[in-house]
Amino acid sequence: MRRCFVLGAFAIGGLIMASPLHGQGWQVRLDTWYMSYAYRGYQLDSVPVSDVTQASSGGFESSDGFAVKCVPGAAFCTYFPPSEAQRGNPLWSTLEASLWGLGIQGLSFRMKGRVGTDLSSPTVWPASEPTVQLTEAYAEYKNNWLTVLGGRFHESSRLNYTGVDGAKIDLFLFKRGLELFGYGGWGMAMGAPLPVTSPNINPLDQFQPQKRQYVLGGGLGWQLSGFQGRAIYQREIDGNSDQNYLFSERAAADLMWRPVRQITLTGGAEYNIGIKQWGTADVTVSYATPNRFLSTSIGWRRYRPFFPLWTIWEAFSPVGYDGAWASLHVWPARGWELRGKAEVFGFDETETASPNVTVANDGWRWTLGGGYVGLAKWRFDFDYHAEKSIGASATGWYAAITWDAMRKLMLTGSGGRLIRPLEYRYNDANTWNAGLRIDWRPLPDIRGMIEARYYIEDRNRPDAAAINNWEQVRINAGLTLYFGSGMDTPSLHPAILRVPNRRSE
Amino acid sequence: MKALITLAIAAVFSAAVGTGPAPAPADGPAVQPQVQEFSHTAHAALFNSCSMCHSGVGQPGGSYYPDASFCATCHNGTMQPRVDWTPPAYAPNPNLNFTHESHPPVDCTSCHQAPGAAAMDVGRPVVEQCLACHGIDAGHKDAPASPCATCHVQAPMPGSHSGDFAERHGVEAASNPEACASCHVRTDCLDCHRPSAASPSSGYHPADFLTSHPVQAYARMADCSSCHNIGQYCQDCHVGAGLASSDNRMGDGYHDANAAFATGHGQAARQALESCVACHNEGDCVRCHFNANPHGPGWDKTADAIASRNPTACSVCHVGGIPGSGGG
Repeated sequence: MRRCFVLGAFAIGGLIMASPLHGQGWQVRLDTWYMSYAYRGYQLDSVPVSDVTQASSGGFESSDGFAVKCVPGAAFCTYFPPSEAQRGNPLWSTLEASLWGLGIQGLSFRMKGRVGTDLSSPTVWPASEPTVQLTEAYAEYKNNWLTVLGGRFHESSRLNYTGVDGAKIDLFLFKRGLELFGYGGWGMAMGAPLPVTSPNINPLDQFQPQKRQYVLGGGLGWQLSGFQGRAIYQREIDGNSDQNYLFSERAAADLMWRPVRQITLTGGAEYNIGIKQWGTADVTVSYATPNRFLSTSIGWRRYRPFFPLWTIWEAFSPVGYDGAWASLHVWPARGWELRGKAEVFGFDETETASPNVTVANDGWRWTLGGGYVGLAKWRFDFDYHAEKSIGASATGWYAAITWDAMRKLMLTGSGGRLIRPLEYRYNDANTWNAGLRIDWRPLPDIRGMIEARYYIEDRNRPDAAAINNWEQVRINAGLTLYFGSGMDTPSLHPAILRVPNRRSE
Repeated sequence: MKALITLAIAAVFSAAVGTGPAPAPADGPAVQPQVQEFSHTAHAALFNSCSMCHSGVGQPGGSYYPDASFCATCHNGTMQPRVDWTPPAYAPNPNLNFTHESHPPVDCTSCHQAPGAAAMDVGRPVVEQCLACHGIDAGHKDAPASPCATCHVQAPMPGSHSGDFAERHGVEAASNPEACASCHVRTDCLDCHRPSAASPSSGYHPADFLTSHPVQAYARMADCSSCHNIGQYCQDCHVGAGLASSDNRMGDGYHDANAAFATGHGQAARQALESCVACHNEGDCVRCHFNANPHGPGWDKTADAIASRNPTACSVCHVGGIPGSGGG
């Protein structure tokens, strides 16, 4: 009932917002999309031991040809045959609204929320609950040296997305060359617009905090000529403990240095104070020729997963890996683009040597592609990729031809193939796909797209669990509407239109 | 309920289409008028002040050009040849956040004359003068992160935004969000970095990502958890697909490429624990590791830090007290 009320309010709010308001500035973006897709998972099944025979390979199989696993002494043997196809039909609408110019220069209100569901039954599309999700909603006051906001907002940094129900203050000093900021409030779950206590983010019924965590963060940023950086510290405090136990305690810094115009050095690192270990880190050097002939980057990166301290996962000592990579973009002639990227990486020592299972310690990946945009209404793209790694080996290609038929209509035909052997499951997946996409922009503030893509999938196995030539058609469709003050300016990029006061000055 | 949601979305849609402001002309921006070439330097001796001809500049409704009759004072066919010229209507560049009226008053030559140029050697604004005055320390159009919106309504894409910038923009955005904010608002980040389902209209994930996503997830080419909550997104879908386990699935043979996977999974787990967690809950692991030490490299240092900040996870196995803490 409560959901219906909220939903109704959402719809009514949309109707109200759709009619002209009298605020000095307001903008709304409504982004609605629909997908229809199918996939086949697996379902656990079993057969009595008496129905199992020994196959020529030495393993066991059921009478109908499925490879099974039998535990000595058990009455049944288990196996995972493919399940029936499941088709999901998610329909979601994201509403983003801004309102400013309410008599106080620099005051604005912003919100971003979603409403939707999976039209299939039972629900297949993940994260379909709750049906109304509020990502951001805050009031903001801004002037040349101060920004204050309160409500639900997010903080994006090297520490990833952190949602907060609280407040944030930014101070800008020395002609905005120095920024000091701090924020605090009740935190959201990692990567979700929901609190960590929500049952919707705990489908496997894991251990879960009973109360939301408090978030405190702060840092500083600076902008010197050619040298910019930002450092952040963040602490998440368990709201359920009297001892101020922590969910996490981390610090990170990002730097950018441009010694000369064509060379940029960027880098940063995260230190997980809570476990006394370094987290992700990377360094990249980029060079671009002035005449847009060549752009290249080389870099090193380290990845280590982050788990909050309320989970037990850090006790399993996850390890990180170091990777070195390089990329190159060349525009050798007018309209032509060639691009490539390669990376090699290796994991830290895990101290888990086992004769039973062989796991690679390192891997590599590379991509090579190109494009041609030399014809007025045509664009051609092609990419090939190959990777070899733990659990992640694959090869494939993708090609697309785009016909920009007219300014308001664009057609793209594309196709590709993916071959993906699975390292831990006896199963080689192989898919072909081909599709047609139509992008439609009848007016500057209306954008739509629809795509139909045909798939053929094989899962090669030497038993009855194999799937051959499984076909399906997936549909993607989206419609984005912009309306509000300032939207009567043709051909402007949406990013510009959404900056408050940009057009009202 | 689903019907109501569909109805609600349809209602908002129809309202948006039906009652939005009148659509703007779809044609491109107005074309800058072509002014017949006029040599300021040739007339330098006659006009030593800009305001003699451009007196209306900066005045609301004022004329930016002199009347043709003013030129005809000399170009009358007797003193000087006649000229066929009529003052063009002033059309400000629609891609500039600039009007003479709103800009702080500066000397005309500050913008319309290159440094060191001769008197009255003036012309269209010298872009470098704008950059220098506004403190933009980079060349026009090739600045890695120039505050384009200082001058432009529709900012030309900075030079840095080519190539694989989409993949490596993170550090630049994090180190200097102010530069991004000159063209983007905060919520632009959420179009891709959204804590929810990816939208096909944003195009963040390529076609066939449903099939290829395990590759990227295992290899951490993209940090899935920065946008997707593992529980809400990964586990939710894997439950529906029959991949997720909450009942000792490890022993049932899903990982059938190696019959001994359950007893030799340690290295794979430490290397790709996030992938394990996408299907397995804590109970799956605790069931065996309650009696089998799961701690690995560098644990001594890590254990002290964790125990001092949040020992509740430790007590899942160490029910009698945490070793070394005096409790057991």
